[in-house]
Amino acid sequence: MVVVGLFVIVGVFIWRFPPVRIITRTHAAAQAAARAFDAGRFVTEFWTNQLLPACNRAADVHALVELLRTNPPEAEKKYARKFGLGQKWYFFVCGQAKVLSVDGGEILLCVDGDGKPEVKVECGPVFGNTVRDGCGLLDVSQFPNSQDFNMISLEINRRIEAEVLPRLASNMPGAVVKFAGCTEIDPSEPELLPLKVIPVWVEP
Amino acid sequence: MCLSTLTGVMVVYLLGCKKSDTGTDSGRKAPEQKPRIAVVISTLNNPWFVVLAETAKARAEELGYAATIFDSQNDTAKEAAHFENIIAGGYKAILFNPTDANSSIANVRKAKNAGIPVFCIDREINATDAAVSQILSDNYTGAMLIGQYFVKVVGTNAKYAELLGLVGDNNTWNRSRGFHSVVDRYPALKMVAQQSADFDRAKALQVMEAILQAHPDLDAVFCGNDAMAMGAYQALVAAGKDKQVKVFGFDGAEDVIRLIAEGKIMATGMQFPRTMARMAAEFAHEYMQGRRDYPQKVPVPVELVTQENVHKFVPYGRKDEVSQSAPKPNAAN
Repeated sequence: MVVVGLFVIVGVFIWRFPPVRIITRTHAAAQAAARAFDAGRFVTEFWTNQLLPACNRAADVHALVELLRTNPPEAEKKYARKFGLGQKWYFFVCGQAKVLSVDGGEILLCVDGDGKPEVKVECGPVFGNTVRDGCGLLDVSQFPNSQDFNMISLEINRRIEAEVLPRLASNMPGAVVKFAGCTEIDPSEPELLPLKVIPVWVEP
Repeated sequence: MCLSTLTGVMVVYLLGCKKSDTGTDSGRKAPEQKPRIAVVISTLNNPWFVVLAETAKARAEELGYAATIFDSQNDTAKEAAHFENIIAGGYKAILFNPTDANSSIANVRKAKNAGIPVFCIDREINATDAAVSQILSDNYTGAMLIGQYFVKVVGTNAKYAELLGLVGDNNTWNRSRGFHSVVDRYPALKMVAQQSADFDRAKALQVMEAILQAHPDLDAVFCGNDAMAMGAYQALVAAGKDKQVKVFGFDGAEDVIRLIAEGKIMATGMQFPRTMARMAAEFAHEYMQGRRDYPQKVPVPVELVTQENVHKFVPYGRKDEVSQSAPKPNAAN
């Protein structure tokens, strides 16, 4: 009687607190997917809620170009961001420019009316973290796994290639455009201009 | 008389005792114990990590600590045992190069709960609330730069293989994904093999031999670290294909920098183990002096080393990297 009672107690205990749980592979995969970082979804929300509204607060590209010509350390002090121990300067800029030329590889823009290109936009694939690190809106320390942080760049770059570059490239030479974007420069290079900008917003 | 004699003996005895005690204090004073710092490294079976470990140890000693290096031999069980011993041994801080981004979290938490600050170097853990700070190479961007150079020198119509590092390490995937963020954009650039060689030179040699058997028409190989690049290069030399297959590494280790200068290896990504190790030791020192405001992650740039610019570099760093003290991280990050 006592033995039967013990079996019942042990049985109930194991039923309530099973030492092993068996789940299907499909269920395990679904759980892992639910936990996984969705970079596409993150960037969709980031783009609309943070990046585009921040374009209005970006540095004036004309003012930055003038400072880079006359006083680069002041340009760094006033407008630059840096990433970790890196020495490169990142800028988030906006402004108006005249399209000087559009060919397959690049678009040249003039921001000060002198007819010379101060901004260059490459039309091919967008690589790297210029926008992620240059906009100043994302902090690597908020991401436990740096792979997630890197996937954000990939998604941002895809979006720029699909939506922003074709819009800019559709303008003819002589057209006046408004734009916002990010750029990085190596201050040890002898020539700091033209700025190689990756646009995130263009009008028209 | 008797009482006064006894009193006199007692006074002499007490004076004697006092003198004796004083003598012991001044003559045989125990040496003051230096606070201890542990340097826990994923493996010392790779010269790059030896540089990382020894620089961290040397900088900690310069700052007035007794430092000991622990080798985890890429084994999470060994790493856990080291942490148990370190906690029991009364160490004041841990400079930590984790073996596994997920499995190593528990060790860091154990140390944190025991009041021992942990500073990760080079490799991260997938948690932002365990280590005091993590000083990490920007592997993704470094591998992206290699990817761009790879396309430039190999072309957009070629066959290549990839040797991955430890599959549990985030650096493995950050490098692989950084590289693929570029090369995958060129459909005629075909990856015919992708295998792990655990960041190990001997394993890379074996893996590369097997890949060459299956794909004798290979054009290039991207290796997730320089030890594997050396193993792959060794296999290519043995097979007589070292002129046919272009080798790309990652780290900036001595052998590879020499072979790039000799025109035998195409490129690598220069990490800065000395900078990272010095900074971790300095962070630990500042922590013990009361500092608490650390960035959780400090990314350290990786620079592309090619046959064109190799003259600017030495093994494990730049020629102009002369500062003995680590640079301060930028406040924004």
